[in-house]
Amino acid sequence: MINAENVRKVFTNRKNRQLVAIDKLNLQVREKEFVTILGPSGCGKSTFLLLAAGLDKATEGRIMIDGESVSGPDPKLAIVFQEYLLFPWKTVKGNVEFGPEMRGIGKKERRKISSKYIDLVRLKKFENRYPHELSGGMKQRVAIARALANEPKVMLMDEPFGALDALTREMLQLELLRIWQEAKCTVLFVTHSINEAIYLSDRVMVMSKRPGKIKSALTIDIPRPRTRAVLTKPEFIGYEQRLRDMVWEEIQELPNNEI
Amino acid sequence: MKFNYKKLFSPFLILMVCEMIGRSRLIEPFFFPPPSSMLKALYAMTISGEIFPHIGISIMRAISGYMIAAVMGLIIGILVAWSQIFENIFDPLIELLRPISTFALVPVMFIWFGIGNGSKIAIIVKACFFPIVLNTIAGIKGVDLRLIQAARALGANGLQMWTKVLIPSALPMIITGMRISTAMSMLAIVGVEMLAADSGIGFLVIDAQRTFATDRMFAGIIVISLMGFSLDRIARLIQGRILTWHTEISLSGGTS
Repeated sequence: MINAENVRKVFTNRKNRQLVAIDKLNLQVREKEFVTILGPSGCGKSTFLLLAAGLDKATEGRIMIDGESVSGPDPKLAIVFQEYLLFPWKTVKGNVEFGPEMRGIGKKERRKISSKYIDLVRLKKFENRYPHELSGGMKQRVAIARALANEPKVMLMDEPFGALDALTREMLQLELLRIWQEAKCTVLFVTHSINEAIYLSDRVMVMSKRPGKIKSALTIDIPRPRTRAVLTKPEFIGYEQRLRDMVWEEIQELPNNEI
Repeated sequence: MKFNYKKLFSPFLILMVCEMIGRSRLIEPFFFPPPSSMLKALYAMTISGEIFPHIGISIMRAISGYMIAAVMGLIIGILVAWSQIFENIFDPLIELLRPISTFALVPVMFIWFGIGNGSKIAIIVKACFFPIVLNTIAGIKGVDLRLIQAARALGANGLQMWTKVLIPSALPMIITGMRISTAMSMLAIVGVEMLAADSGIGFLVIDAQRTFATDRMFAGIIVISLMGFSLDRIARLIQGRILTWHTEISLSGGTS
């Protein structure tokens, strides 16, 4: 489904100094799989997501989705950002209909699509509100519905719950699992929360410090549907321990001033 | 918008004090007529109807100039924000012409457009153009790059990006520029009508001064104040209508 081969991304700043953000990154994600990339901050995980979304170009290597090389934004690739990035002049409905509107879908059809996904994220009562009238958790639900309205095959999520308080975060994690099971798409999720990675994913990939590549992968063998009860199970704690060790190895190698 | 009656108090108090000074004859009424005689003069001009053509022609000139400036400002602003080539062409011109006092151009406009309405409208255009063009440029260039990224990911292409993202997102700034310009248009029209005109509210004031009718002069100034005030209220009302979402954000101090 997603197949990244030898991806390398180099940024050149104004003083012509080069920064290698990602190097020799390889990863495969199967159809309908929920995969999380876990890594220390600044390791290039968000950069990779932008490349996968076609919003930026890799310096070398390629990313294939469904056998086709990603060359630019594509409706079958949706992305959800940490900062929500809703359109403040549009209502919830207007935001969700944005993608279909850009694709030239008629008003009636658009209405149907938006109400389907607004129902899915349980915001029916708020569909005529503007973003500034919503809480952070609701805004992120809108962003998810807006991404799903293009009926993507892949949903890329860039630390989507990073700006939320702990309780809202837990609730939205559960919601995301429910939505993912209904929408049936492939999810590539980026986070630096070990807990969140295990809770949500089929597989967790640990990224190395910069230049980022996939260091190791761990299959999370916890049956679904998962509830909050799994958080205290011994196998969950076991995964947590192993991942923490892997991530710590990376952080410890960083010079102190980079943390 | 609710009207706060407490705000009537201070203007009323000033009027009372002026009235007392005027009536006490501490200052010669020729220099400082009491407000009651200004209002009397204003009433007389209203009853006779002579004031309305002056108000009408001033508003007509202000609106015509304003409209031309708005269209030019929007088009040039969008072009500059769109392409580096247009920025290179227009940016130096804007920066060099903007500091010139509007009234420094009055003699030029009289030579080019005559002393009729043309030169007056041209002066209004000069006064109104810059706030609109500068706010349009700043508004569009200031759109969050991440928001543009989100829109691209959702499938917005070139033209859609402009009509569905950049312009709506810049609209609060653009409208602010337009509101600043409504005030500019009032300042400029009165000034230019005082310099050379045989009609308009500015002419009315200067003509009253020349004929030593100071009560009529002050009556004209009251009208100017009311015209400017009403225009700003109307502009605010339109702004509120178009930008419901934005007004509410600024009032609650929140962000999206």
